[in-house]
Amino acid sequence: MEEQLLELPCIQHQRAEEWYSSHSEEPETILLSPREIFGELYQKDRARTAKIRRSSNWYPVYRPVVRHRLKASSRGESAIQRIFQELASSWKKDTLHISSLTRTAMHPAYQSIIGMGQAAIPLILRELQKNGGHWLWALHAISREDPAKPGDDFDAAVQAWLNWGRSRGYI
Amino acid sequence: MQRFRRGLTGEGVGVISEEFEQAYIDELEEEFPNLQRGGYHPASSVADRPNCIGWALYDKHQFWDPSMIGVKGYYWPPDVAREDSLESWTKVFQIHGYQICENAELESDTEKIAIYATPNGVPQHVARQKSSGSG
Repeated sequence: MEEQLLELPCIQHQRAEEWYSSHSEEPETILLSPREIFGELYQKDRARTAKIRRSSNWYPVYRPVVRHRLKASSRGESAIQRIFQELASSWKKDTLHISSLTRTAMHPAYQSIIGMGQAAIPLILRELQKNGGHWLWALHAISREDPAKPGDDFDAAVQAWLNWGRSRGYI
Repeated sequence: MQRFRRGLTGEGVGVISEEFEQAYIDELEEEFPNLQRGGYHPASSVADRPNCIGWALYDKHQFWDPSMIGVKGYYWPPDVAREDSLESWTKVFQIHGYQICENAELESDTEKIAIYATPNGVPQHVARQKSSGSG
């Protein structure tokens, strides 16, 4: 079965030492559920666990990069798509009533999507195309571009990003 | 605060799937069970949802946020400090014709808005007073 690797940034590993001591059976890998990764903000308990390969900057740094290994699902959906959908769903649910876009964008799931890097761009653009949402920050952070024009309102900026994605073959 | 003139108006985003729309309504009803008991009905699409500042200023066109610096598509008045503070939010409404009012009593000739903030003065939400006097 196909396996994919992607990098996710983990934010504020306050229990990192505890996790490490309880998951150190394999020298260079640990098993964590997404709930453990994202802590209390990750409200739904996920049964699936992920194999995390320790990297030199994983512990005890607060914003480490870990490798997240998941098997592709039997439905043919890639691991990265599933992870994106889980993160996006969690982010939307947790930030439904938050007015501050800054606080919304600082949600761990949103930051984790940014941490997925270039691989997340087509997924974000498709989500933006289908359901809208405040994905411009993530697109800007990953691509380091901003195709919108100064003074564009939100709708115009969204259209600019979708056109940008089409011109680069992302969607 | 009292309102003396209207803000901007405009169209909302129009790219939302029915599935997402229904999911949003389901979430709202789960979070606020009294909605159904009160016989509410959705008045607009989630696509038309600006954030609370835009809604309070009758602006369905732009998303208002002080901190989205460097990301185009968001708006904050150029003369107002880009900070999530009660002072900053208050200034936004003052330049749109609002004044600090003495109480929250319903007055027929004025429209009032309330800025909700944490005890340490971080604004969380804005709501317009309805003609019934509620938020």
